[in-house]
Amino acid sequence: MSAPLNMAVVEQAIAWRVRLASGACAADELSACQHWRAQHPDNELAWQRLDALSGRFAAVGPGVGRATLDGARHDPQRRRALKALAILVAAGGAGVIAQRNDAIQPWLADVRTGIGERRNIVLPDGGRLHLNAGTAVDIQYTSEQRLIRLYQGEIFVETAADPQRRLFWMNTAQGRLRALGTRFLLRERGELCEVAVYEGAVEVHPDDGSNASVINQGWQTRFSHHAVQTPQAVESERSSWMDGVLVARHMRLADFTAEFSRQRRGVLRCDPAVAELRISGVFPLDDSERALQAVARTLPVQVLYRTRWWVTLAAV
Amino acid sequence: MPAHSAFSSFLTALYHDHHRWLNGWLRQRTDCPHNAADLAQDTFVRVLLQRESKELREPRAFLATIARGLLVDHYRRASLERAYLDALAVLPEPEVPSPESRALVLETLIEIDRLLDGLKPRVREAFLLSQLDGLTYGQIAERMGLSLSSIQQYMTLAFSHCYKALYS
Repeated sequence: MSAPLNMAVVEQAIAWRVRLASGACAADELSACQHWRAQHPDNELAWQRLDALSGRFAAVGPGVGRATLDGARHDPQRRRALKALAILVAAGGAGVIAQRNDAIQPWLADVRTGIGERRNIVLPDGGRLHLNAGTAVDIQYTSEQRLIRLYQGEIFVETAADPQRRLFWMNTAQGRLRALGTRFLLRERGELCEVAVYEGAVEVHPDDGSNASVINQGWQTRFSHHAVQTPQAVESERSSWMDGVLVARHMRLADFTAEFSRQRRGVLRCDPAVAELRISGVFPLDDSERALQAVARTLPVQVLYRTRWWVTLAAV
Repeated sequence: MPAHSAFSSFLTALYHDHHRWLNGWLRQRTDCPHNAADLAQDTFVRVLLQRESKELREPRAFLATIARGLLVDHYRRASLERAYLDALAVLPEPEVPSPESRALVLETLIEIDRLLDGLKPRVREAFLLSQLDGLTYGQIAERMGLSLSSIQQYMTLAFSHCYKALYS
């Protein structure tokens, strides 16, 4: 469709444009730029293409154009759909990223856990990553940074001191987080992401560029792509899944059911009529049958099996 | 034409073996079954247009790759249509563009949105302030609380990113 241009030429053309647009150039620079364009047809072609690029923006104009682009980007349906697709892209994505960084060989891995599966991973710098069931992450260590992308689920990160002093970043659908020597938990919850800091501190940068917040040891919060909620004291039982148990303290039955549905195959749901009942106790994650029976014993609830894999908690 | 018939039997087999699967795959990822059916159809049209019967070790992965691109476009288009209508709704009557120019602007917006994909929010913001809102680099630096050289860096990044999206 169009002749390929050497990227070096394109970059020169960009450098000229940026210099001229900066408004800080001497009068003779304009003629120097014209001279550069006349030197070679490729130079001129690169220049024209950048003109055409800017022309697209000019055709749209400010106001409505701006409102549309920003509105579409924050469209919740689109964000949800693209996030779900990102997981699929990531599954085959490592090769693509590796090609882009051909100068350095980065350390890359896509890690997934299925239903009922929890995993521990030792990171290249000796840090540790714990994955709860139903979790998807990419790990990307380059010479510049250590990066973990959380697409879905829940992780617990223990960072290690890095001899190369690279920054440690986490990306989620809602924004970026920078670890400041820490142990912390991160959980993806649709529109919101939860972070609980057990040691050190974590800096939260919502996606839209609004101000970063630092969450200190002993605090947890939720954030969206545009705001960080007021932090609250950490509930230490939040990380009990790492020990293979769920510690519930006055937990809503709906939340309890959601936790266990990550740990077992099939459908596990909770009737709205009993969703607000509260439950306390310690339940083994790998034995959901036992946990369900325990619920039936302590609450006015019965466990209905439509099939072995279709289970509903309903009022007695 | 033997080449043609080889291709059409390749396509027929691909359709026969995987059409239902693709439909189901798409239905899980779209809001409505009609969209899923349309997108499945479009996926096979893309294969048809490629006119290349390759040995496919993973035919479903191949179809899913094409379908995924179409899905991303589908959600992009839908979100821009909604946002554009929202933006037009608050315009005073005389400023509302004609239907033809609306269609043209919408197509351009979809293209711009695609070009900006993958840019960091700050870089995107700086680039839009310059290209769309017509601010000078100095004004952008002031507005975003950054140095002029940062803005220059952002612009360089954004131009290069958009160029690659358009031409490579």
